[in-house]
Amino acid sequence: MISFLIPFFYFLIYGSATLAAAIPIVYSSSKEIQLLSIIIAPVSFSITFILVAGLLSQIGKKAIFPGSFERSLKDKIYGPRRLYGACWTALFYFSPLYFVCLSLPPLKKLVFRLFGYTGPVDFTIYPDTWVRDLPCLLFEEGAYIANKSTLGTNMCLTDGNILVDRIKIGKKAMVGHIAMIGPGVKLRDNVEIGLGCTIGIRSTYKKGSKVQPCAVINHGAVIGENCIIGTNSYLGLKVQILDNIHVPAGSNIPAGTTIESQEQADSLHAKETESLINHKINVLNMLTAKAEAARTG
Amino acid sequence: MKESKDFSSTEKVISESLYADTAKRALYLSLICSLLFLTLGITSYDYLHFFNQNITLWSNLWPRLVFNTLPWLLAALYIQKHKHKPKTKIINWTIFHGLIFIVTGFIHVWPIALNGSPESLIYVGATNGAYFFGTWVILAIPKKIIPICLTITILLVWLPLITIAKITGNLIIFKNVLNDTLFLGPAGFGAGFFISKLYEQIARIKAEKQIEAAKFLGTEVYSAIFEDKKELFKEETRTGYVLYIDIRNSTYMTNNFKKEWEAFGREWMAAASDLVPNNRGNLLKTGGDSLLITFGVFDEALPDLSDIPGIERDEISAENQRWKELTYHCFSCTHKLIQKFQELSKLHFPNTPVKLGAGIDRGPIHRGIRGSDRKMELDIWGDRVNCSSRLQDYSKNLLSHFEKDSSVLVVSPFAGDYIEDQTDFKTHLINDSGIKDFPGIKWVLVKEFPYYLRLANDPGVKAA
Repeated sequence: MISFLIPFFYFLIYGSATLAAAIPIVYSSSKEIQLLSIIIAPVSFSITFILVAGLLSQIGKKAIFPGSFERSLKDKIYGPRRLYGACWTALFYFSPLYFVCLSLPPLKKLVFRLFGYTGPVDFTIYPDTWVRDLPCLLFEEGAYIANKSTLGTNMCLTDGNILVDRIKIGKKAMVGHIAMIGPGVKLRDNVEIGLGCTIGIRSTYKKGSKVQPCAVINHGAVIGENCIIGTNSYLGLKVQILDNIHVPAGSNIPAGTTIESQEQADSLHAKETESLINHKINVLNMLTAKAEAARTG
Repeated sequence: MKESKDFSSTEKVISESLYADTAKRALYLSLICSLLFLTLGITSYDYLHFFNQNITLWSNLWPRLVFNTLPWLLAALYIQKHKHKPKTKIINWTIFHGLIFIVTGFIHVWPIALNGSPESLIYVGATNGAYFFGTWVILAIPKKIIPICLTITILLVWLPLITIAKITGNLIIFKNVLNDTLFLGPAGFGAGFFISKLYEQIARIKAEKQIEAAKFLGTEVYSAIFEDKKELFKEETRTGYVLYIDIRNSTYMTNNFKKEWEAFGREWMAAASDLVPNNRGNLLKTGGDSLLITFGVFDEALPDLSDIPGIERDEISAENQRWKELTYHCFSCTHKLIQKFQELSKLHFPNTPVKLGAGIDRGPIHRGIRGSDRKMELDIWGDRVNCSSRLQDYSKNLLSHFEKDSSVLVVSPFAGDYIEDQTDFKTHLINDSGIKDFPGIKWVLVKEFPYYLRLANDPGVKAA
């Protein structure tokens, strides 16, 4: 049923929008009206496209909620999810129209509300920011999501299920370019996720915390207020960092660790990074020695 | 810790709440003014008509509707909806209020006064006075922005009015308007200043009460009540350690060293209240001479990741790490507590040994709110809590195995799992009466804390 409905939905969305643009042109009684119809055709096409896609998405909207569901069209939740997804992606992949929607605040509000987003609309997002499951998203005022970043409200799991969870981006929080945010992540006010960071499932970042570029943070981490996670750091599963701690760049913090003091953070950095650097030096020395031996021998 | 809330942040909280409250009052005042200025369109009609026969009720009403009521409603909307800070809103509101006043003046009254009937200004004198005085009394703006609001009001309200009165050329009316304005305007600001001080005092008392309450309520209850983290009151089962400590010979000490014992008790409780949170513990209850302390039960809940496949090994290693850290905190805290207890007892009772009994268990512990609406308490309960108490009690049975003046820590087999270095502990097989209510426990780990007198005099122990 769903596999039949998805193409039918696309047909309805594109068909009705094309008709809305074409009918006034074809059936106009005078040349002036025809000219006017041609001029307003892109507008009528766009509005119809958005409205039809948005209205059709209502059928599957109720299935957009957190949980783990079997990835099968026969599933009671996953099936309607796909219908909702078809409507949203119809608009999302229609980049010029989606770009216009994001550029005009009233249109942005209309689109986001139609697709089930309930939070404030005073946030910045780009057409190539990966966004799905709008009812599961909450952007507080002034949130900034850079282009090419991913807000992964859903994630396919190896057991054949799909995991869906809410993502909350707090007031004036920023998500950097090509950063990946997993399901269930909560970024509180003024949090900053740097360029290329990976943020694991259901991790929480408290007020004012900053994750510097290319850090990888595993699932379930809790980062305290005003913490800084240094560039290229790795935080294992369920790591907790208490407030106001600066984890130095290149740190490697094992799963389940709670960092309670700056000294502890520094010591972990020193131990782990030092061993990595030493290993790198050893490998380089070995390769140099081999190259030297090959040259001489 | 909430106790360490610094003074500057308290001041900031007070000042923010004062601005927010003032903005709220400005909102209500805007709504009231929107109605009052419309009413003025009806009530002022008769006297305006007296001065200018061309004025009709409608010609007096619609400008007030468009230029007074609507702007006031917009001002209210601005206060309610805009994202400006409350302080900025109040300053902008003062500008709105001045501009609306000028517009109101130009709706018939000032033109009539300028066209040879300056007496018309006398008719609105009382209204102006009430407006000048009432606005600032109701608003009671915080003292920090009084100078800026006063300047705006002088420039946008008082100065135009006085200028109009001067231009009319009637010296008596000019002096009258000048007197009214110069008396009622500053009086309004002055009264508002004293009222704002009152508001500030109330806000300060509220903030200080909160800080005071934090000392008694503890971090969890404080956060739940004042920071609206109600999830902390949710009943749930968490895993962690329970430590039960009791002073052994307290009845004897009370009878023989009443005052000194009380002083010792106060110092001991103060030390425990500092030591426990510093070691990530939670001092849940103090009853008589006993302490009930938990580790991990009130820590921030980490998310459940059981529905994510492929991370099982990481989950186990994270859980192991958590237990290792909790174990470290629990046992180092216990050691520090007993050490502190012995130091204090040395100071207060140099010739009388005072000893402790302690029991530690580990496992699932229920936490939540118990009691009725009259008295509620954040509490823990369950087998592990009872067991820690029984283990503490069991330490009495072990006196025959140790020096009778030693403090003894009894650890359940479950709580011993994560102790990396057990060399200080002795395994004690339970073959006598057993641990009350827990017959399944066949052995325990026991650690002796020798009393300082013996410790100091025993060269063997010293060397060790």
